[in-house]
Amino acid sequence: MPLMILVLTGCGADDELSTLDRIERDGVLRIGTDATYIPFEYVSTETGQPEGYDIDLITRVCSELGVEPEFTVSPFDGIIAGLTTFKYDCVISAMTITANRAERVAFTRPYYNAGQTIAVTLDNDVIHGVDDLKGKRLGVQMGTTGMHLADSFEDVEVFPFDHIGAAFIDLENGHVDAVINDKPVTQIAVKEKGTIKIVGETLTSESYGIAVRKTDTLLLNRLNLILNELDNEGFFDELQKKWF
Amino acid sequence: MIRDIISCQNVCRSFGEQKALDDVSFKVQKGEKIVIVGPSGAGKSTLLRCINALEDIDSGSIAIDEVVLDRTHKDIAKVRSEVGFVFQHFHLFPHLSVLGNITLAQRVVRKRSPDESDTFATELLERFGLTGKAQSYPSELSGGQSQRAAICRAMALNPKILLFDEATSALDPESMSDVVEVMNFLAKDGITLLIVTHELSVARQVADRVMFMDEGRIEAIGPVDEILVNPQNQRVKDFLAKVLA
Amino acid sequence: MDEILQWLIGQLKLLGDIFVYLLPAVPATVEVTILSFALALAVGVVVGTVRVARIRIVSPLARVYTDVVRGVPLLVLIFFIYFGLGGVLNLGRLTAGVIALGVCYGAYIAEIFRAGILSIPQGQYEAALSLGMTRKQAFRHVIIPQALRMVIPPVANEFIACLKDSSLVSVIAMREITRAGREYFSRTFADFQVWLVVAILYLILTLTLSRLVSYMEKKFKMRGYGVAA
Repeated sequence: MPLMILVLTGCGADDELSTLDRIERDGVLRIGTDATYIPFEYVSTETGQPEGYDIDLITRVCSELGVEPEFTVSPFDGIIAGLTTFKYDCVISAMTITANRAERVAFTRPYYNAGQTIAVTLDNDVIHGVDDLKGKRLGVQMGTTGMHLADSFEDVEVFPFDHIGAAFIDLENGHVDAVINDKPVTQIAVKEKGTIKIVGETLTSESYGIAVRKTDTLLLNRLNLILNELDNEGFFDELQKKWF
Repeated sequence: MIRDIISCQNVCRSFGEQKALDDVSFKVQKGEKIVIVGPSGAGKSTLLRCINALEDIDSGSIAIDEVVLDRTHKDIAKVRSEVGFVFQHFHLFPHLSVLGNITLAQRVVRKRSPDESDTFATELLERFGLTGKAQSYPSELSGGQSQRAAICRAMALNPKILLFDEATSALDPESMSDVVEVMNFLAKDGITLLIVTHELSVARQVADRVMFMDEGRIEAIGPVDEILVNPQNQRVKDFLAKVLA
Repeated sequence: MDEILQWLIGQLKLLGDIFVYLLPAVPATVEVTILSFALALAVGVVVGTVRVARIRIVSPLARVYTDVVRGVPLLVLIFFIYFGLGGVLNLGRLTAGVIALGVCYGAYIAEIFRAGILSIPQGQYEAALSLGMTRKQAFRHVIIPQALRMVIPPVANEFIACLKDSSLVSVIAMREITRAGREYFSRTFADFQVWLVVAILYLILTLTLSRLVSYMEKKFKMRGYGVAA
């Protein structure tokens, strides 16, 4: 009997002090993010603080909750592990909602719709779409849906990098033939670098969601409520204009 | 005319404030056996090392077979190869066998063939009573054997001069007499010997002339009788008194 | 009881799965390590000798090299060489990784080797000179052979460290054990099991290496040196 109680409190189950209650009590929402993904989250070279679409969104959510945001930057492929081990209470990181991930975490309603695209160097005349990827080398970001998509292609060599910037550099240096990545980030990269272009159609339709632990149903519900309000308010449109 | 095989003129050498050699001048003729004695710190070893160009001199000059030593000269190694040096602590090369120790310089410095080097090395080992030790390693030899091996190594290049720097000081009495026997043997061979030692018996057995040094200066130099048996110099007398007491 | 057995079998199956997935990456790890370390040895022996020999211009440069390389994290070095120089010089992943690791470990080996040379008694050098050898000959035939034998234990440790540091080339998407582990992990989220297998694989490699090194130490030990002759 004592053992069970210990386990329950350790899990922060809803009938003890719920995560939402704790957040409101402490006045802080701890957030995990992989701040290497312009324009959704990145660390500003001027302020040294995270900035971006996701950052703006979650900061607004925090103000609706009446708490302060506290960011923990973590590499993408370890970020869910950080959530389940209580290093933070939510994750916002341009994370696509997938069934696989939904087995480990709970997602809010989608807040952004993206899709995978193919990026190549400007002078590339060989790759025009997904059919031309056979036998090619693909750069992706470790642990992303882009990587999973690339893996599903036949007869390709996949090179996962810690952050997508490295994959783009590899592309420019000619060590990979194409990069598979979310459309919005790729678009920004195309605009900033001027050395790459997007070819073919958008390969998938993907939605981003905020992730929380499966047991934190109160928190999840509250976040969903806030997101709905912000959507109705037109806040998402504002962000789209600001960042794209 | 007999050439001076070693000629030191006004040699000075200091280590900081210490004057190790203070205006040292003397000549050695080919085939002579000079034994250098004196108290510790007299500069005996320093003198020997300067003659083999292992040390710089501050002023004066040293000439080997009328070639003035210049440590910065590119051919200094060649001059050194004509002078053999036997160290107090042997300094055999531990990573080579005894045979390897003796043949290394032959091959590298004199460019002799491996066969030639091996043959000569084996001869030397026999001559100095080390037959059968060719494949042993320095760590496996006794003190006396090690020093004799070191002598073989020094002789391998057929040097004109052989310098002994306290060669018996690190040995037990039995080994010591072995080595002194070797010195006698070499003396008969006609090679020029310069021997620095604490053992006056060596001087008596081997020397043509004895040189007494004290505080970096040559206090007396002359035949054995003159220096050791009937010393004129007061310092020599004091030294002998202390040593023989 | 039945449940526990089921769970155990499931776990073992998972571990086996991971093992099979990671095994093809092992040769890559071994390849990177061996190539890098060969480079590091070559660089280290040369630089260490140069540092001791006090040659004009070259020796101070060697000092700069060892100070700079040892002052920069290996990860940064890898990024710099692959992404920085890699574009200009078109260095492949393996090449860049080997260069980075080789240059980094070369500096450490240089210092170890330098200490090894300095530990050889002065008398050895003098004996060589007295036999008419030039400085170069003395180093080549007397000093360096001894120094090499002296430094086998610390160099062996660096070799094992190099094997572990080879995991860093995973950041340039080179397919070795750690990267393969991260890939598997990101596909299945089986975190604990993956890292267990990765650790075991590295352990197998380092232990094998240690045995190899002990063998070499015995073979090359100079008779009469060290505590247990």
